[in-house]
Amino acid sequence: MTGPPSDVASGPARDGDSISAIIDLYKKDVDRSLLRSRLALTPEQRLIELMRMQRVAEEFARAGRAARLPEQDASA
Amino acid sequence: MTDLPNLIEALSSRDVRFIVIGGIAGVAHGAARVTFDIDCVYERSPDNVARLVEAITALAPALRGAPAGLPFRFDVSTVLAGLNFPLDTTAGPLDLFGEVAGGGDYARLLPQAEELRVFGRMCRVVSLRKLIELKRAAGRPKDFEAIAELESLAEERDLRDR
Repeated sequence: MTGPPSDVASGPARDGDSISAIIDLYKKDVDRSLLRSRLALTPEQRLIELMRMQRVAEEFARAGRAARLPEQDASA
Repeated sequence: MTDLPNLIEALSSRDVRFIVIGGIAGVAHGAARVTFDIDCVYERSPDNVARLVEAITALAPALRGAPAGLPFRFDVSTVLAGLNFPLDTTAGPLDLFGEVAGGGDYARLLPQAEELRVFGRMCRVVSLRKLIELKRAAGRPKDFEAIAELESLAEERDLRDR
């Protein structure tokens, strides 16, 4: 993921114009085809899809922790 | 994982007055972002807080991020004495807000909420337009990317509805 300029990212929000300019930059990278596919679903289907993605993310997190365990054991 | 059906059932079956805001509201409107916590604005009348406490107590709430051993009782007097509560529950992380920046309290936010049918219940969710306003009002740099997605979503929805 590409972040915003560091002077903007590290400080508090300054004024509406500068914030809008940053948001407009981010908008160029939004995957609108993904949004259109979500809009084709009902609200409940969107939430079910979210919970499915949460399970996937949690499974990868679990796998990552498991992969790191041998290194931790060796350094202990 | 967030157990949204269980949480919504717990709140709705007790007629708790609440409005879903934050990332889950964005997803309900069509955002494709993965979020793990549930943000709700709750109405602070004693009756509603009593129903809220009953509903959330069934989900074993604990104050998220609190030092170990810090005494915390999620009861009516605690909720009325406080305002915002970041909780861990059996249904997932739940952030309860008495007020939010740019949106005020439940009564002020209510005209900007939509009723969506999810998991067999009608659930109030802040409108997409108001959600964008709330995130802009919060002014957090970490939200800028999410705001870009929500504004793009609003544009796509307008195109679809034309």
